[in-house]
Amino acid sequence: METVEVICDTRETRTKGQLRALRRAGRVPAILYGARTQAMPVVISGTELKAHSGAITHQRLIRLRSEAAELNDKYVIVKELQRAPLSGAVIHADLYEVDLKKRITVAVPLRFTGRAQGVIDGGILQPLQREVEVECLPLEIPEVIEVDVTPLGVHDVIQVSELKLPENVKVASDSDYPVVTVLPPTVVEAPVAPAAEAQAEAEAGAAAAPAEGAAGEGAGGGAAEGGKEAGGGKN
Amino acid sequence: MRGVECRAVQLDFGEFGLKALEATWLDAKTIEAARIAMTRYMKRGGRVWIRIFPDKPYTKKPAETRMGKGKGGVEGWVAVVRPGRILFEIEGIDAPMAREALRLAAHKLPMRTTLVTRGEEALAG
Repeated sequence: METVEVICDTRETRTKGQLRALRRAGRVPAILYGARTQAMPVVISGTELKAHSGAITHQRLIRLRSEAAELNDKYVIVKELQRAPLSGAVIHADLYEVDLKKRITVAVPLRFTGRAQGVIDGGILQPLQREVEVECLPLEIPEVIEVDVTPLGVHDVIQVSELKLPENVKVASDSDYPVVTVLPPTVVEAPVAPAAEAQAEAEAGAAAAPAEGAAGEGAGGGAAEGGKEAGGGKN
Repeated sequence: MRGVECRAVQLDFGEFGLKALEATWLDAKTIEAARIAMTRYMKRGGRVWIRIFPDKPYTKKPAETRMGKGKGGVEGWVAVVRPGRILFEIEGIDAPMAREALRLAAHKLPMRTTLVTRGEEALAG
């Protein structure tokens, strides 16, 4: 697996104002920690983040490059990202230092390939999970796990246990969990709803006056027209 | 209304979404109008999630009523929308169709909105 390199530096700025000034200068404050590492405030360049957005947003292995000896050549994954609610810009990152010889649990994105049979029949492909937690060595984290949905019919489900994973990669979550399904075709809503309402009203009318069959039908017909009018008004 | 939204600010269900850029109260009939505009265009395909719900009552005094004599009755229900809130999400249709459906929905809304796509969030520092 290709390792991404990111240039970072140690950070002295701690206060809210200082951090905001840092962000205005195009840099992103972050924190580095690990199982054996003490938490250390660091800063990453915003352009670096943009350049490696795939590795930043998904948990891929990142190699730190820094002039500070305590940071240089450290292998990390992004544990958490904080984003601005409006712009979506990254405002803080949690970097987790990993031991290259120890297995870790990371979330790997799923990529659905092919056109499902159920979709050809009019259904909707509904991913129930967009990433899956796997356990592997940091150097073997898959970039993406491909899921072929071609044989999937309506109401069929692919479960986590059916995923084709690379060697030495194990699923960390429940293997019975569904990953993707195909929902049945949706019914066109506008013309059907008033007719169904009218039919229900007609049935209710017929039940209320069983002796007067003709009168019941008449009421039903009237209700049907009323329902159609109501539907038309809604349109 | 002050502040920005801190919940439901990213896509959680669908592939495309409509994000509010301004604060407003959205009443139930406005949400429904936007939903109908969207689903009519989508016809049979796709699935829609509505990420807002009008759970706040607003009141109004009757016309030609003097001040006082207590608070007015409940006139309707609104959803409080702050900038950054995802209003609708769509899944199961292609990108041009989703864009058009969300554009039509946006025209029913009284504030500025933007279209967001999964995996294309801004990564500006």
